[in-house]
Amino acid sequence: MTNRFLPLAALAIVALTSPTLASSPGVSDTAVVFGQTAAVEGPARALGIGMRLGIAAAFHEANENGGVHGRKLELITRNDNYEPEAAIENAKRLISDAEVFALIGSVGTPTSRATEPIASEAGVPFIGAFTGAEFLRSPYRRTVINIRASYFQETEEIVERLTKDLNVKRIAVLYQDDSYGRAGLTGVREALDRRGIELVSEGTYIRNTVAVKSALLAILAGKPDAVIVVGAYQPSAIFTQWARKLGLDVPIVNISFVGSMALANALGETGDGVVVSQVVPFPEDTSLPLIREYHAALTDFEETAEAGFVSLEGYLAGRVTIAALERVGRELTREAFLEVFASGEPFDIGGLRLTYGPDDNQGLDQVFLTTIGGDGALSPTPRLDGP
Amino acid sequence: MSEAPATSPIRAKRRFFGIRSRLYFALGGAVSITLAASVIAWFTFLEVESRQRQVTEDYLPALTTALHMAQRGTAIAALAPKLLTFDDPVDRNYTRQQIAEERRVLQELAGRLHELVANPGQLDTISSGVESLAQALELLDQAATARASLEAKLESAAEAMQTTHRELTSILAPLIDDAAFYVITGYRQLDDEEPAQTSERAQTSELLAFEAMTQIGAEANLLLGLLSSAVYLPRVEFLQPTRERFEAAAGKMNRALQTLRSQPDAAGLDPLVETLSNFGTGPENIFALRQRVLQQRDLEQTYIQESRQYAEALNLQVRRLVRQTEIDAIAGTAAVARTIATGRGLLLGLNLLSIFGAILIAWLFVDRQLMRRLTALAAKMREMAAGDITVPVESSGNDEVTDMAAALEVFRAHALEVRRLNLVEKLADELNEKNVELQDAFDQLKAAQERIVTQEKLASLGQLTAGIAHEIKNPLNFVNNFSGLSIDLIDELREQIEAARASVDEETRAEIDDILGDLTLNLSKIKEHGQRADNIVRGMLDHSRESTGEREMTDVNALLDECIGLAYHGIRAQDKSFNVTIEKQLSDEIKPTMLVRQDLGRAFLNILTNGLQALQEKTKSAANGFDPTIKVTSRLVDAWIEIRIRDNGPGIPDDVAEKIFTPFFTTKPTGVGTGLGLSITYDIIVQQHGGRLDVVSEEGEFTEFVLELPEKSVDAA
Repeated sequence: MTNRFLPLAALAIVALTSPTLASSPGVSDTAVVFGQTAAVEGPARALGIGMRLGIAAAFHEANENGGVHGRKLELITRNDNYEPEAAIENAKRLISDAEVFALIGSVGTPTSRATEPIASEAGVPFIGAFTGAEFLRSPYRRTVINIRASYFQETEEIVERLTKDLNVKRIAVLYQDDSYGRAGLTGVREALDRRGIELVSEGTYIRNTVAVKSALLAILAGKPDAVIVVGAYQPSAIFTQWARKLGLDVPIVNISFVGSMALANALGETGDGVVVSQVVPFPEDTSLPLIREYHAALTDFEETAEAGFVSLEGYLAGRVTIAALERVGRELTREAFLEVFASGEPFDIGGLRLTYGPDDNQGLDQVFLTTIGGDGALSPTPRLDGP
Repeated sequence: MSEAPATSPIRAKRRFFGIRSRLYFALGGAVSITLAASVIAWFTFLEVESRQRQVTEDYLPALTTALHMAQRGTAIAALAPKLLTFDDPVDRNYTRQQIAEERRVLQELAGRLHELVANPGQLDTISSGVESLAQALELLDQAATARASLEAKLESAAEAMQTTHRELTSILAPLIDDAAFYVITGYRQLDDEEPAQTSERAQTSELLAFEAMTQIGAEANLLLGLLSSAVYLPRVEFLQPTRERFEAAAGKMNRALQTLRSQPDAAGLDPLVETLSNFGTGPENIFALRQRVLQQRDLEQTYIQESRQYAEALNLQVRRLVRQTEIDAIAGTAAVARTIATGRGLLLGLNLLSIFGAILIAWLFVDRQLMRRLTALAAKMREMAAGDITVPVESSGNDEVTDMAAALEVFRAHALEVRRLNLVEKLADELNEKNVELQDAFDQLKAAQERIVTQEKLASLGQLTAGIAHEIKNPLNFVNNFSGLSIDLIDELREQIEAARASVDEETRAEIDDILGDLTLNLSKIKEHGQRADNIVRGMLDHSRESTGEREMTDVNALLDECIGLAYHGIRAQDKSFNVTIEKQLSDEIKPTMLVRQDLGRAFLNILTNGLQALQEKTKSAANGFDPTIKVTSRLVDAWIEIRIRDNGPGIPDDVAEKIFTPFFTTKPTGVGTGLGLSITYDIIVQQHGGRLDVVSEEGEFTEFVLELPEKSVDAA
């Protein structure tokens, strides 16, 4: 009986001790493969395309320099249309069939909420999701690596600026009727609660539609002095246009997820004065080495590409990933990769400092506001001015 | 004595019923009881074995097989619900294989039982039970497979329905949004300059369209809800009411759509509404699918129920079989137990019988007939051994013990006779002893006589010597005296000549001086040798003088010295060429002691002379370079004066050494030694002085005599 298992046991020992067989999926001698599920088509496509561009530029930059520890970085992107069902399908395929090393640059809260558990169960790192949703941050998840500040931090900053700079007391919220929108709504509510203020009115719209007019009517009923929009750029633009049309000339502040450039483009003239909160450095602030490197990488990767917040966030996610891979060394496993973040040693990416730790999976904490100008260009706004 | 000694040997009578026969009889009885017990035990074992074999070979395997069958039957029935899980086709295939395997094993077991069980009729029911169960399971499997494909269809329909609904909503929501906005604000497009007038925007047609749109949205939601609930409806009865509500809602939705037909925006809604309706009314609609699923499920339940019943029936059959086999086995075991009990009883009876017989033999025969009489005989023997042989031995009965008693009686009579004869023999022995003693005394007497004769001879020789010595002494005195006188005269003559020296010429004077010198020398030589002769004579006189046996203060060392000189001169007198080294180590610690001086001197002289003679002999035969040496030591050891006289002569062989102190033993040629020297020496040292005398020798190397004398004189006999 026992003899039958001896060769098997020997084989198992060989398998365990052999270094070539021990590496993680997605890692070969020459390459590391990453997967991305994001909306690169449909109403939210600007976000997915931007993230993909940034990550690909960072990977391209590293590959041009010989890769990381002799391995080229590859990115497989699948479209999910900003729908959780499709995102689930994509994540499963990427992990089981394509055998990616990690998932990177997911876009959206409901999609991330659907895919993160799949990655977590398979022990696959979930890097740089384009969302500030709280569930990716608290309670702490070791397999999740966030770049940006949370929605709660964004809404807190927005409310702080509105109440401090403009002394606004009547605030309304337009939110997408899903986990993203509700997360933003909760953030705003909590920020207001802390200041003893109540929300005057709220309106919702259905994800992947631009049916925001009824919501506008509902918000108007509250006579707000400022509107915070937790939504995507198309509905937000249409909402803003109709609001201005109906004479609602109060500050409209968007959460970073909206996609600043796309929003500015969609708004056209109406965009003047619309505020967007940001969680990555200003992409034209070339005093920061990171931004210079970003511009160089972007141009090198795609000559016609324009710089923006979304692709910068993608680039940042790519750069952090590369830095972590470099720290792991040639013997690359998912666990070793995650350990780099859990160890707490901070990253300096082109002068931008990102800190992680054993119970902190979020690299950046800064939030600042930008305003769209009459020319459709964004500029940082340290202090809000009255319209 | 009146009793005559028995002359003929006692002969054992041949008896028909003696102890031998009785013992044979008793032993024979015991052996036959044991044999009987063994036979009974043998038969019992055989019987037990055959019964046991029946239990182990027939009942137990049947029992085990039947139990296995029961297990397998239950296992199959337990596997049935597993067939209903569709999530994992691999799992399901595995369950199928398991069932097939169980079925195979079950049939195999049934086949085995056929061979084992006496009543195969019962087994046919079991076999058919197994078959029925297997068929039920096959049907169940088919039903489950059919349901699985139906449920897959249902699931994909449900998914498609969700997608359709989402698409419908994404078109409908902006329409409703726009319509409501228009009615309230009057704006349709962003580039509208002015809002429409209230009268215009609140037209009945606008309101009806808005109402229709909201109606479609509401009904679509309701349809989705009804269809979703239908997908999971647990019972087939609920399907019809749900379906009716669905049809009603679908009807309303279609009527609302009719109202919107005129609106260009609503064109996209048409196919979506139709698709959504089709999920509830089409050829493979969700209700129909669900109904078939539920029917299939009922069918499965029936099959499960059936298979469970078959399994239970099978189990019942098997249990009966088990019970029957158990009863057989128990009966077999009981038979074994009975056989064992019977055998045990018989053995017990035989054991009791043999114990009783043994006690009877021990009591009646061994104790009463043998032991008591033997004890009495033994007591009689002990009496006789102690010497009491006068009382006759009583005998009773008529067996070997009686013979023994009779024999003992004969023995006793003999003993009495022997005792008398022994007395005469003892006297003769004593006489013999006395004779030997007398002979010894006579021998000793004779030896003493011889010694006395020899001593007498020696004494007369001594007297003779003394006489001669005395005679020589007188002329010696003259020689000595006159030689001394002559020396004096020559001195006077020399004085006279000195006076007349001048008258004589030189030459004559020298001559006179020479002559005078020679004369003086000659005279002194004469004197010297004369004195020497005198010494010898004196020594001879001393020696020959009869021992007085009186002790006097004697210096042992001086005596030794004197004896050494005597002995030396004695030997030199015979052989001038013989030279010997004499070493003396005489201790000063030895003080004069009361000893018989003369006898002791003789003893010393004997030993020394012996040694010198031995050396002389060896010198003659030994090679050049042999230095004959005699060494005399004296010292005080504790309270003893120890004297050692050692020569490096030829030594004494061991067999000779044993006898040297025996009187008249000698190794010298006849006439040379008397054989008395050492014997007398021994008497002097040991008997006269209470000392010790010993000889140590190694042949060819040395001989050493060790004499020990008590320092404080002991007056020995």
